[in-house]
Amino acid sequence: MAYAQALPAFNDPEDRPGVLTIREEDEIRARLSASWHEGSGLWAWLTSTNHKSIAKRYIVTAVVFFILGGLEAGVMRAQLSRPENHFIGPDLYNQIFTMHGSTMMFLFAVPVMEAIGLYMVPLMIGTRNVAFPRLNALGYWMYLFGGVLLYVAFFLNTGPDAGWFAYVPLSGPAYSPGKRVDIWAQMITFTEIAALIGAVEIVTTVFKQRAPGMSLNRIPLFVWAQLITSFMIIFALPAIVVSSSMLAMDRLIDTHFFNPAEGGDALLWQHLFWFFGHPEVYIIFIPALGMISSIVETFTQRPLFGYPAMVLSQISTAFLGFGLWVHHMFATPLPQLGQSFFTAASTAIAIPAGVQIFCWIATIWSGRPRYTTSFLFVIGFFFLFIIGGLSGVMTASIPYDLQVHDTYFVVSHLHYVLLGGAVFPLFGAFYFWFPKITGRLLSERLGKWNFWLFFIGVNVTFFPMHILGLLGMPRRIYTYLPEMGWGGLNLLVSSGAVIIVVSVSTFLVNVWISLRRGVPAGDNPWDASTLEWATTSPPPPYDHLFIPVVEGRDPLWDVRDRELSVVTGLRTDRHEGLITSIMDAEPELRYEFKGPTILPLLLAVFGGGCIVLAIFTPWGVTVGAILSLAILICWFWPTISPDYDTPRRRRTT
Amino acid sequence: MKRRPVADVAVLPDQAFSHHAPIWWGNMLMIFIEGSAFAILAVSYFYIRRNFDAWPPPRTLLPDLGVSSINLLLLAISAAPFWYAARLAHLYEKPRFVGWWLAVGVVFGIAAIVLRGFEFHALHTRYDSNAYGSITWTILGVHLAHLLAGTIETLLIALVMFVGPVEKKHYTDATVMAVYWYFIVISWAALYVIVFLAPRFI
Repeated sequence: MAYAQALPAFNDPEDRPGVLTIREEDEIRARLSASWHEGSGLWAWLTSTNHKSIAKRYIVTAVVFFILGGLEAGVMRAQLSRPENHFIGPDLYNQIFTMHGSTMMFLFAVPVMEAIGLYMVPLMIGTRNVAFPRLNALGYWMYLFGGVLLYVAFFLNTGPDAGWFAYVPLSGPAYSPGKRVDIWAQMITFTEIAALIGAVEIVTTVFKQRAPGMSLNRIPLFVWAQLITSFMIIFALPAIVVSSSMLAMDRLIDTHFFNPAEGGDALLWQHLFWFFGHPEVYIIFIPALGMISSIVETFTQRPLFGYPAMVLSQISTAFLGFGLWVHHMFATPLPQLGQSFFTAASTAIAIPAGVQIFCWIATIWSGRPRYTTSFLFVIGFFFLFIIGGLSGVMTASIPYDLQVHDTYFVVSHLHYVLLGGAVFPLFGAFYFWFPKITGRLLSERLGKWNFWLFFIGVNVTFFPMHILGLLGMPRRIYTYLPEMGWGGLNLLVSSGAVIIVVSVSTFLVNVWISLRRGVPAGDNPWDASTLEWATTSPPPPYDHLFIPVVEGRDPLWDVRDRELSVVTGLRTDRHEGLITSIMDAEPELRYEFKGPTILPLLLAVFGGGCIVLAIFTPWGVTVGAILSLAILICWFWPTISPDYDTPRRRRTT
Repeated sequence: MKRRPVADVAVLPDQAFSHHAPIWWGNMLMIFIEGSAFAILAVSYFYIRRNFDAWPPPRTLLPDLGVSSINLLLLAISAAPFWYAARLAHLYEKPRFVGWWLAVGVVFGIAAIVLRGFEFHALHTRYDSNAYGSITWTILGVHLAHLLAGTIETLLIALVMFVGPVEKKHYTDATVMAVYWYFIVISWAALYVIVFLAPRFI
């Protein structure tokens, strides 16, 4: 059915309204503010379904976990700073490296990348909220409770201690009695639910809610990155859903998935875990690529070079990302053909990464770069990521990998790609979008201190680890003998960690000062081209006063010397958005977003409570299902607003 | 920045079917997620197979084809009432007509759940006997969870259709429910082949 045909396009110049006057705009603004007003106080906070409120707490929570994970790294570095140190013992050390990995992967990196997407994507594509606002709130609460579960258990000396990958048989019932690994498995349950919810939100929102005219070839690259990442989440996370459930069942009800004595297989765990775990790396990395594209385009003031090549590279990175998992398992007995395939795939992924880096370099080369803090973090990314990428190509080769497997060489590689490839662009994005989110600029002076300390700190910390790895220092050891000769380099590494701590503290101070007395940012402080800068800073609850109409890839640059085209006619008396077609973004229908409700929180409390109960008894699953069903019945209870189908009472923009 | 209206969307409908509706996409992505989970279970089944000389393991009978085949047939037929309910919803027929056909679907769902209980017996193994028992029970169990969820959901939509208040968007919900039920049926066809037929050939 061609819904789009119904759209009256004011073809007759007589009917065509003129530019909206300030008074007309003020009236619409007042009506939208009234219906989208969220209220204040605890109740409003607990019931909010606005994507910006939820994404903001997502980001803040993720940064808190980043700090906790960083402190854990600091404790490990203190312990390793000299040989035969007795700062912490082996048991606590095992818990701490497991907590550090689990926190950084599941509670910081993936959620923070999705959170920035959940904040920015609706603004960038010109809509008013994500497609399923209540579900979105549920995602945040699940994530929060998963993180709280992990840390409460840790402070009760029940922190998981089998590594963030929980390899069997170590994590199985025979070698890890007690509840430590169960805590890990259920934390995974919480975070996977949250991540999948975020992915479904982003895909549906990007597919169906783009501003009219924003056809597929005009989507901002950051939005492309979020879309592609969400599809990766949808296809990769089921592997960890299934495998962590198998592990929990092996531990709780005596199944034998990973028990070789009864026909189970320990390597099955590794396959399933890395079939999730390797795409996970790209789930963190691809959104970072999108952030870089936004920053590079803005601070060179020119459209990005090679847009189609960039999009295709991101898509091919996502595809290849699913064909790499076995390179984490090169030290296990694998058939020769399998080894060759995964070596080839691991090397091939350097190609789309290279294409993107060359496109950015071409953009910078032909643009007028402004070296703001955001932009410096992107430059830092180039250096760090190329080092990490090169050590990645090295370890893609099996003979070399066997030599450095489980040594600090790999620790160095993964931190260069994750810190350089994801955290540096993320900090760039913090400086870039902070003014939009809070309405205030961060200090550039402190920002530059932040950047340079971070850049130096990362290199001092992680570069010597290459050498330590080649000297044979294994991962996950809590101490070492002086005769090994690793003491000096380890002290250097630990001092680098101190520099990183100072750098991150600088950032926190910068945020604190800016929130108190930062320079007001204005709508578009960087003269950027995408739609999030067309609204106020911080954006109003309804995001955009009118849904804009997009006429090119860089909507705000396209309309520099004329008015922004908008559509009118959305209802202002309820939360209404515009649904458009997938390919060409032609208007199809009006769509109501659900307003504030306590139900997502209740579902998270009861459903989540039963996930925790399931650690102790399988009845937790049954009780949880019944309680959740009761809440879901309330959730879907049919209600009709009093003005349903009474067009006279409708008010529109 | 000044703004110029170029189109008025007030005349657009506020409900649609199929891929025009956001909820259809939400459901489809859910199907991608759960379809991937089924695929991972199937891969695990064949991976574990390699650890056994005989499949099913020695002293374990082949799974019975009787009750499982009846259930497969029943599920295949159950697609019909859902298809018809969706068709009536598309035509905006009276809500209770849609509701009746959904109720027929619920009856099929309950029958399939009861038969599933016998299917567990037909496996001739237990989840804690060995890895063969673990993976076959898990496949049946995960699909059972889908049957339960699908049946309850259908029941709720049918109730809305009978009791109301019914909005146009509930017609969309009925059609989306049918899509989800097709997924439950089709995924079972594949899993039936794996759990009940494959041991006879591999």
